[in-house]
Amino acid sequence: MTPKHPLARDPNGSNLAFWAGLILVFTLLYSMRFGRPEQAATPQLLPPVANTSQPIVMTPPPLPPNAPIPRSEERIPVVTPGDKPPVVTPAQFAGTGPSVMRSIPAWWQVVAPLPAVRAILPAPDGQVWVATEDGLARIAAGQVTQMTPRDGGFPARPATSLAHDGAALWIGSYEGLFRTTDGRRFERFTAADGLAHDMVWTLAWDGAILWIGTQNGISFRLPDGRFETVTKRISNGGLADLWIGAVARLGFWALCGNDDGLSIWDTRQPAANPTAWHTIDMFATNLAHNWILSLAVSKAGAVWAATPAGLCRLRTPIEQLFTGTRAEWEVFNRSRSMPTDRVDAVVPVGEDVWAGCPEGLVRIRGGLTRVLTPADGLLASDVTSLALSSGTLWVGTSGGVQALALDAFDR
Amino acid sequence: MKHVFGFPQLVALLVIGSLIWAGLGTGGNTLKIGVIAPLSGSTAVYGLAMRNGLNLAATAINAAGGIGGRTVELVYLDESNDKLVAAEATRELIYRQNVALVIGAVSSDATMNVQRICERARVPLLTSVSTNPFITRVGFRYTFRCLSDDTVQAESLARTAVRRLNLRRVAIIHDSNKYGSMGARVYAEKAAALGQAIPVSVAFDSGMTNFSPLLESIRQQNPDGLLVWGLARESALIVRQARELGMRMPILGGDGMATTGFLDLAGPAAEGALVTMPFNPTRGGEVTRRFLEDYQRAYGTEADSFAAHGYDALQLAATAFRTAGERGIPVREALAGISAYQGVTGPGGLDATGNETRPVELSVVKAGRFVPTES
Repeated sequence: MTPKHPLARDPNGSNLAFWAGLILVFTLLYSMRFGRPEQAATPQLLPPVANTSQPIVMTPPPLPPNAPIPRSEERIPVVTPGDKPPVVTPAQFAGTGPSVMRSIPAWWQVVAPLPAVRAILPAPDGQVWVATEDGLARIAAGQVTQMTPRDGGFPARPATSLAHDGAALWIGSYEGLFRTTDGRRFERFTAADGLAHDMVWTLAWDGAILWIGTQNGISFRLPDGRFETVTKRISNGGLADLWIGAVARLGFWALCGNDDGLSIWDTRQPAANPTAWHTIDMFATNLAHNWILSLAVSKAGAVWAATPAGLCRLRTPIEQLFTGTRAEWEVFNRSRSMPTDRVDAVVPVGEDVWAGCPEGLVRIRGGLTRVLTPADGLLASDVTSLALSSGTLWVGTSGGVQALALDAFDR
Repeated sequence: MKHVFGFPQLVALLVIGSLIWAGLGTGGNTLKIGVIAPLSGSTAVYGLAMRNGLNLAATAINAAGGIGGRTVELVYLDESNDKLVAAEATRELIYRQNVALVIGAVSSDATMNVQRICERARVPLLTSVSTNPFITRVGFRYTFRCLSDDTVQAESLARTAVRRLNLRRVAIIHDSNKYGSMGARVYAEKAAALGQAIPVSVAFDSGMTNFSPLLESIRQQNPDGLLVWGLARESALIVRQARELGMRMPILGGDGMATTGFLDLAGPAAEGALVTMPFNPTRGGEVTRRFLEDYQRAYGTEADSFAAHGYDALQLAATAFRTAGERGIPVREALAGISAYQGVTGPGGLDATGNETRPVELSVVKAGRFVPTES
């Protein structure tokens, strides 16, 4: 007997399989569109994060004795904009539309319109990586390549933070931490792998350790590939709060910016020991605000903290904080000619400091400020991220990425 | 040769196609607004009232044709008074549900963790419950609040405590979270400016049930007033246990106590307590009267401050979406432009930082109800 096609007409005028199938499809579609109970309209949250209550026994290995503070600009080859054709030349950009200014100062060497920028990283191989609200982008050989979940190029949005350990690129996201060596395949790490939380806000590579600031404390990745986690609970309150907006390393100290101030961990002691911690807040010191949005350490070891109420430079040596000395800050805000009190990004460059604000890019030199705005060629006024490679300041805004040639700017 | 497709198959295809088309069409005609609130747990009393107010507003907006022809769909996520869950909920709403605006959360701790994500994603956040002043003082462009903050509330309380109640020494007991600690801090500043002393200030953690040791330490200081800055459940237990310990001084509190959940749990011990009441039902006129009636009809209970502010929050959002559509501007800009509005909570407005501008009133607990009083 020849088998019948499921949709074939029944010569007897009756095809039970067909009608049963139709009813099934109809019921399925109806239930998907109309039949959801009210409660089901509420999406389920992700599974809870892994239990992180185990006492931490590891401390990160200290940097080699007398080792200088790792400086990314020393390890990263020069990315001279003139070496490669810019992604968009200033002249091209000036002609992109009536809403855009018609002439661009010559100090802007690269201009790449992109989705809102969260972080920039000039990598050792000369590529520049950009974390954006839509995913990841790469600037190389005069071309910009966007990689997003939509096109399958990068599995998460947004990408929030970037770091390079010399062998691999690390990308923080709200869906976990990603690692890639070729820019095409991404290995994902989550709370199940030992991260403090899947939502990664900031990354820092100190030359030996990868530091990860998350929604629920910090993690650090040991050279053997394991992640260790320090939360407020594990540190017995030493780490003042959960959200970590910025992490930096200075000698033995891990600086963890959260929303209760700057928590400093003396990493020679286990994190669970409360005396290993000191938190500087706005109530006991003149720190401008408790929310630390960005941190940077200069070559000379000066600690800079960007907050919603000003850019702050720590005047007190950290070792003195652990012996009871009250922290003193120098604060740069609107009263000192900053365009806004809020500062989102900071990069020390020699004796200068560059700051990203919602209303412009600021250079502070000798206590004096110079502000750059869209009238000076910024793609957008809100400078959200900054990165340095020799001679070039990379600037991220909600409009994209651009590179400022510091020599040309000074001339 | 047999025909593979015939009339029934054609009908099936048409039916399936129509259903898919209908589904897509309806989805594209919906304006999704995310809501983050505690809908379970010890602070659900706030979240559920807020949800009722929001639902009532959504029903009214949709009955009037929606917003620009689009139906408002509220996507609720329960954060159970957990700021980590609130952050995860924000991620879900913005990056997976693609909501156009977020309303929430309830505790200031949670709202701060929500607002940082919204700011980066450039999705407007409107909170109708959280009162920590920081929320609108961090220079964030996408955060708005339609409720008097703790600075306003603490000032009103301190002024009344000093000038009307003549309290010279007020002890403070407050939640250790960002709502309680900032409320206590702001009150202490305002009180000091008015010459009132704070002999003792102690903190408790959410979830505590036995406050006797803390209250004993307060009693030893012999204050002539007690300020409680916490959420309903803990505040009610504190008030009860204070009275049980024989502490008879006037009790003051922030709007965390301005809910029937506090009254129910505190019982007679709440009598005489003076609390900030951002919603005075007698002040809003006809609009408020209609809201109260509709609310009573819909939920069989009286609307409280959190329900009323939830209602106003969605109406403000709707106004912003309409304005944005009419003028071709971003919703954030439209929301920032609302310098004055008439809500069911009375006349209000948003200042340049996105914060509510109106003063707060006070209520005293009489016969188990909040009765508005002159501050």
